[in-house]
Order: sequence, then C-alpha cells, then structure tokens
Amino acid sequence: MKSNNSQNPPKWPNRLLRLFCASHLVEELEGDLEELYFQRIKSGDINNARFRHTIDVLSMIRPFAFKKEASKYPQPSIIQLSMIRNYFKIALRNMWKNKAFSFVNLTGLVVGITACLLILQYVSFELSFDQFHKDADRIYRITNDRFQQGKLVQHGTITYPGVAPAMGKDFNEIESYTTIGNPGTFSLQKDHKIYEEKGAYVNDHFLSVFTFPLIAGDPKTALKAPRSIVISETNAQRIFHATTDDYATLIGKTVHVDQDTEPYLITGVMKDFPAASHLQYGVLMSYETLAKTWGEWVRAGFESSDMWHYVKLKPGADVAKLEKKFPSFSQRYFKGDKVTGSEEKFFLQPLNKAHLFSDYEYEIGKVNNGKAVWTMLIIAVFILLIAWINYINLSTARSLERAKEVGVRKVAGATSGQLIWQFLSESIILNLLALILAVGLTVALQPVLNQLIEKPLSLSLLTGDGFGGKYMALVLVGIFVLGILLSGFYPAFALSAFKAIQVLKGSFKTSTKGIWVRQSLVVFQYTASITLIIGTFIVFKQLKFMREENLGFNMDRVLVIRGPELTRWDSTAIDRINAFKTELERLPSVKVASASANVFGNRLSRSFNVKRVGADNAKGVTFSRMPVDFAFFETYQIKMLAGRNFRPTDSNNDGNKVTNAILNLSAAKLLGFKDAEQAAGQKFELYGKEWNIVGVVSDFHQQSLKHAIEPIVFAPFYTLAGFFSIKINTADLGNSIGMVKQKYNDFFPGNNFNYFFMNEKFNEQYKDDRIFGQVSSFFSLLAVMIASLGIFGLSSYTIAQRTKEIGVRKVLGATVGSIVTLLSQDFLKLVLISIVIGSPIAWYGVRLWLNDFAYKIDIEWWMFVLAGLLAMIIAFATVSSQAIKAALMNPAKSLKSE
Amino acid sequence: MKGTYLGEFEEVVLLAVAILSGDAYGAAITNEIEQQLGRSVNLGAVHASLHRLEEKGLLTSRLGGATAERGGRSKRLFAVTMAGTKALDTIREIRNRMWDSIPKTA
Repeated sequence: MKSNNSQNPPKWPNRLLRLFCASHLVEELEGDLEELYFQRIKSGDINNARFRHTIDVLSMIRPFAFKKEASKYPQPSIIQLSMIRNYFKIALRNMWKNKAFSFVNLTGLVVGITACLLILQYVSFELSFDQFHKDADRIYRITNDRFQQGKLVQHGTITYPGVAPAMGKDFNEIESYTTIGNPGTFSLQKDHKIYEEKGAYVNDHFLSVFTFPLIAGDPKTALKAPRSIVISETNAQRIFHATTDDYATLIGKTVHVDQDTEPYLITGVMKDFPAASHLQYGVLMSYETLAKTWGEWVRAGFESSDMWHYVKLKPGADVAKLEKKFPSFSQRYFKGDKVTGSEEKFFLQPLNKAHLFSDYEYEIGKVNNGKAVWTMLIIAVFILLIAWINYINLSTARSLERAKEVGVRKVAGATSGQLIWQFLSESIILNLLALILAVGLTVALQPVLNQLIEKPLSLSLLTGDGFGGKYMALVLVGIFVLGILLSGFYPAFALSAFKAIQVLKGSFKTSTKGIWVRQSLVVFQYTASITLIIGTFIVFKQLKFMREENLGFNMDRVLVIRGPELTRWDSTAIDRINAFKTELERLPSVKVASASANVFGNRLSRSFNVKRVGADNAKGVTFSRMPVDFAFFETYQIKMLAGRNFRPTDSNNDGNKVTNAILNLSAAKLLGFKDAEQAAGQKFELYGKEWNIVGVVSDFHQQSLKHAIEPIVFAPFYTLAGFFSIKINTADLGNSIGMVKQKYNDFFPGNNFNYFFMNEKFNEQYKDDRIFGQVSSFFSLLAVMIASLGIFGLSSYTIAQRTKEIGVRKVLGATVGSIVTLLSQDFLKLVLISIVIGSPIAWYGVRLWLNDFAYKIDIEWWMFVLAGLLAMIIAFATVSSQAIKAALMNPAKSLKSE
Repeated sequence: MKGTYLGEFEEVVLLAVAILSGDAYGAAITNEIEQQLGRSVNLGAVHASLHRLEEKGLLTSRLGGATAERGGRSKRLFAVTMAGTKALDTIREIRNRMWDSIPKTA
C-alpha cells in the first residue's frame, strides 16, 4: 500500500470537502490545500502534513463554504403573488377542461373524506363514554367472578351489597363508593297518570362519586332519607310541566313509585344524563328506601348478589396493589365457598372500560363492542388512504397531458421548485374544495346516519365535545394537512421532473420508474378493499346464521304483554292470572296464553347451590331460574323429553309448598344424569328443601347466539310483574292486540298496557351487530368504489401510453380479444397479489370478531375465493371498458400521428 | 455600515494581502501569516476572513492562473481595494495617535 501514492494527500478529507462545500469554491480550496500540503512535506515530516491537511479541511466547515454562488441574474422569490394567481388560474382551467376527470377525482376525495368524517364522529362518540366525570380515571367498578369446582359459573358486574362497604372500611385506598340497586323501569304516578322512566336506587355518595350535577337541591343530602327521589330535567317538564326557572319549587313535592303506598319526596332536579354515559337514568331514589322495602340485608349482606358498586380511589392509589389484597378480603368475608356456595373473586374495572370493553353478565349499562368501534376506525383510515392514493394515481395519470405545459414552462425559465409549487397548489385547491364539500355532505347525511345507528352524532364531536376534546380537532387538522401535502407531493415531483428538451422534441416517453410506485399503491388499495369485502361477507353470513338457526323454541306470532306491575299481589292473584289467560284463550285469534316471570332474550337470574339428592358427592352447581306456568312450553312449542308438563295443581299461593320443577337437558346433565329419562322422577335440593323433577325439556337458546345454552330450572311460580305470552293464530295482529288490550284493562285496571312481539324483541339482541353489518358493508362498498376509480385512472394512463403499440398489433392482425387480454392482465396480476395479501388479514380480523359468539359459522375457503372473484370481476370490468375502447380504435389514426 | 470594524485576524489577513500585492492567494497568504506571526493558522480561518473582507468591500478577487504544485488547479488572487487601503491607513493613524498619547515618563 505504501507506494509513491503515500506522497499524495489523504483522500477522504477532499471527499468530505466536496460534500459540504459550494461547488464554485471547491477548485481554489483544493488547490490551496494541495499546495500547502506539498510545501509542508518538503519542510517537515509527512505525518504532520497529513494532519494539517485534515485540520485545514475541517476548519473550512464554516458558513462561507456552504454559500451558493450568487447568480448573475435577479432571483425572484419562489412565492410571487402574480405567479400564485397564475397557478390558480391554470389549475381551475385544467379542472374545467377535463371535467370528467376532475369529477372522478373530486368524487373520490369527497366521498372518502365524508365517510371518514362520519365514522370518526361515531368513533369519537363511543370512545368518549364516561369521560365527562370529574376524576373519571379514579373511578372503578367492582366486578365479581364466581367459581364452583374450579369452573367459572358467573362473570358479573353484579355482586353482594356488603362488598363495597367492607372494602371502604378495610382499604384506605378507597376514597368513597356508591352502590346501585334494582335498576329498571319504574312507574311514576302523579295525579292518576302513569309515567314510565328508567331509574335506580343509589346511595348518597352517588352524586359525589359521579358527576351528575343538580339544578335544584343539595347533592350532599338529596339521596339520604328513605323515599327521596331526584328527577331529571326532562321528567320535571314531563310530569310537573315545570320550566327552567321553577325547578326549585318542585322540591318537597311528591310522586308515587310502583306499588309503594307511601309517597316519594322530590329532593332534587338533575340535568339529564349525557348521551355518552353508560348509566342512563331519569330518576334516582335513595338506597335507604330499599332498606325499608327489601330489608336490612341490602346494607351489608353477603348472601344475595344483587347490587352494583363503584369506588373512587384516592389520588395516586395503586390499583394493581389494591387488587392483590382482594383474595384475602374474599377469604375473610366469604370463607371459600362456605357462605355463598361458590368461591368469590373480585376485581376492579376502570370506568372507561364499562361501555366498550366489558364482557360481563348482568351488565347495568349500555355496552357496545369495542372491537366494532376499532374496526370502524380502521375502515375510516383505509377509506381516507384509498381516496388519497386515488388522487395520486389519477393526477399522475394526467401527467402526459401536462407534459408539454411543463416543457414550455421550463423553457420559459421555470425552475423545478416553481413547478413543484404549482402542482402542489393545484392539489391543495382540489383537496380543500373536496374538504369543504365533504363537510357539507357530512352535515347533510347526519340525520340519516343518526337515525340508522340511533346515536346523537354531530360534527361537534370532532371539535371538542368528543374523545380527546380540543386535541381531536388539532390532530384532525394535522392529519388533513399532512395528507394533502403527501398526496400532492408525488404528482408534483413526477410532473416537474420531465425533461424539457425531450418533451418538446416529441421523443418523450414517461419513464417506467414511477410505475412500481403506482402499482404498489393499487395493490394497497385492493388489499384494503378485499379485506373489507371478505369481512363484510362473513359478518353477513353470521347474521344470517343467527337469524335462521333453530333456537329450540318457536316465537312466531307470539305477542308478549307486560304483567300488571301496579296490581298488588294477594291470595287471589294466581286465580286472576289463570282467569285472564282463560278469557284470552276464548278470543278466536288466540291459540294459547301463558304466564312467566321472564321471557327469552333477557338474562335470567341464577341459583348457585343446587345439589342432587341421593348422589355420593353432592357438590353445588349453578342453574338459571325461570318461573313459568303450565302453558308456557306449549306456547313456545318446547319439546318435553321425559316426564310430564306442569299442572295447575303444581302451583300454590304459598311458595314454600311448591316442590315440583322441570329442568332443561343441560341442567339434568349438570346434576349428573345421563339423559332425560334418568332425571325424570329424581330429586334435587335447593333453598333448603327437596324438589321433584317432574319433567325434562329439550335445550333452547334462551338468549342470543352470543351466549351459551344455560342449565335452567323451571318452577311453577306466578308473579304479577312478569309477562304474558300469547300465541296468535291469525295474520290480523292489529285487531288481536286491540282485543287483548281490552281484556287486560278489564282485568288489571290502573296499569299501562305494554306489548311487543317475541321475535322482534329477541332479534333486537342482534341490533348492534346488524347495524355494524350495515354500516361496515356500506363503507366497504365505498372503499371498493373509490379503489375502482383508482384502477380506472391508472388503466387509462397506461393504455394511453400504449396506443401506438396497440395500433401496430392491430395492423399485424391482433384481435380485439387478445388486445383486451393483454391490457387487462397487468391489472389482474395486481389484484391477484392483493388477494394473496388481503386474505390472511381478513381471516385474522373476522376470527377475532366471531370469537364473541358462542355459536358461529365456520370460516371456509370458498368465502375467500368468492370475495376474490368479486374483486377480480370489478377490476376487470373497470379496466376492460377502457381496454375495449383502445382495442376498437382505428390503427390508422394512432399510427399516422408519428 | 458594519464594514468599518476590523477584527484583529482580519487586519492581519488584510496586511498579508497588501504585502503579497499581486500574488495573494489562499496558500500564499497562509504561509505569509505563519511566517510573520510565527504560529500556525488554519486555511479555513484564512479563507473565511478573505470572504468576509471581500463582502465588506476591502478586497477584490479574480481567478488567476494554475500552477503545477497545486495539481493544475487555478487560484483566486486577492487585491486590496481603495477602501481596504483607507481602512489600513485609518487603523495605523489611530494606533500612532494612541502611541503618541502615552506620557513619556520613563
């Protein structure tokens, strides 16, 4: 290595010099460096010379060396008012000239942005639930898992009344707690009018744990005394016709609630609960009332699991540490399964999970599927990206037409910086126009969407009222500015990079350099579209499956009416119920009528300590309970597998004398019986007495297919607060309802007549899924549509470039068919790649969604094939329309222009 | 105008250009200064001063001929302008006046 080369100065400093130094200075500086270097070699040692050389180069890293050579000509600033005016003019003229093209381009953007805004509103609304509470991050809900023989038998938010008071006493991390009991619909009575309203019994900390402000009344004392009631603003107006000014005068007035003979004293008027609250009550009643009507056990009992607790922790309290103390807490109060027949585990659920990420039984509030919300967000992002990609593809597709303009501009002295500015400003104009139109369209579509999804959405959710507050607006503006710039940059650079000489000489051919960029963009668009198509497809299959699956009972034309809740129970009640049913059955349109405490679709209550009599290891198991009369199984056509149905004599006004029960097959098996025959005639123990299993019925889906079939025990108890199910055998439902209503009012005067049809009520369980299906399919369709616009633009671009080739092929005898195939196959290849990428993504996504259902369809390969085929057909239809046009063109025309 | 003030090193560079009149370019100026001051200076510092002086209008420059010892690269030749000469004169005058004002007590 040490040849005479070693006499030369080291190379890397010079390279460095060229890197940072303005080009016009390089020569003289290198000259000076070399001259000094050789002088120093002569006068001293070579190492010193090399060292000084390096130091000299490094010492030149100063401002003077970076400065570009001053131009000999005046340099106008890049932002010139007159030029900007010119850019706008040219942009508008261009849009006007290619009306169809601009329309397609603008449509894609407007549709994309509108869809995105609408979805974002929804997402923002859903994510903002319960955020309005002060200290929302310190509020937790106590949840309770119950285990028997190591198996989870209940995963609930419902738990024992004594849990929160005991925790408040034992753990000083807890600042305060509130207990909610008996939530439901109440009949408020004032001046012989009945007003139904949702409400609950809550303890006096409720208004301090949560942020539900009172307009009138003292929040500290309003819910202390028994039979105190706080009503919402809406109820103040509805029941008392109060106006904003005289809410205070309502305090001290009274209403009657349900069957309670004593009046409730109004102690406060509160603002209506915000829509984004998982708790939705119009009236709050003091918890002390329950202590009077239900009994003292509601204060601190550990036997019945009937209440919901929310705790507010002290600032800085460690939740994880607190939860670690719960097992010993459980041992202290529940002693394993000694107290309740099951082992109790407690957890704390953050308040902000109560609405979207809560999979508990006995939910107290409005629950939505968090996964669905995230899915919608992903769809929104996809649609926006697809729209912008479209813009990129369509604008570059037009670049051929603009090439001459670029050439002339360059010859006239335009720098590429100016051209980039020009094309960027064009994209800003178009994007802003699209944004304005999209906001208008969003406002216009708002009512329709709100009605469909039954949510109070508005643009204000994105400007401060929703998730993230004002930051949301800032983030959105940021995203849009970034998107507009990014989608504008590529076309701007592509266009400004044309070589003036080539363009003007006519030997211009666009490079194939940019092709892969556009192709990968198309692949991205189609991958997103295919994922959405497959997803939508499977969602609909599952919805259809759930609608059509045999539930194990028949709910066609079953009219259900609410029991007479305001009628008092007495020794004649059973006879009156039976007489009412008999009277109904005498109507010609009624086939059979029955009474039950509950109907399908509602979560049933459970009994936890059921034991088989006569078995060796009688461990307690858990059943759901359903009190029904002897006509119930007939009304719903539920099959009796063994034993007999109930008889009227099985019931008794004295509940303690009822000892005959019917089980479903699951319950019989849970007790250890092999089949229905074996169970019939046997006994089990519950509530400290023995029960005869007089019959066993087949299993049925008591709730939606999201839930597993439960073991159920049916007992022939009657209640006035239950339901009557009436099987109608005529198509004239309206008339039948009228006649039933008349009978009802005769038998149970003073009660509201409420009715619904069982199948409608049951299918309402799928409402959220149905809306999710509809909305996501609509937006998926949009995504596919916009993606097709993109492929339309790209194909017109490439085909325009190949007109001459097509001409030559035709002259040489190619058929229209072969040319169409030739032109289409490039795009079909892209779609094929998209299918390969999109399918696994879609598979993963739908599997996550399907996991929520206990009974679900299998994901099968043909679903993917079908979705892929659909995408292929759409792509082919889009491309071939252009390809056929090109193939049919007269070759003489395309060739003579040479 | 900011051009009136001369830093110490700038003054030295300006003087070196005056000394080398007609053959003042980066390497030569560097050598001259090193000899006169007896310490080493960086080429970068010299060039930075030359640019600043040119901006202030005290120097002009033109591209000159190439020589073999610099690998055939041309050099930039600097010359002191009228303003530069005046600036040097002013400095000298001020210094002299100040020297003269020192009381001769010793």
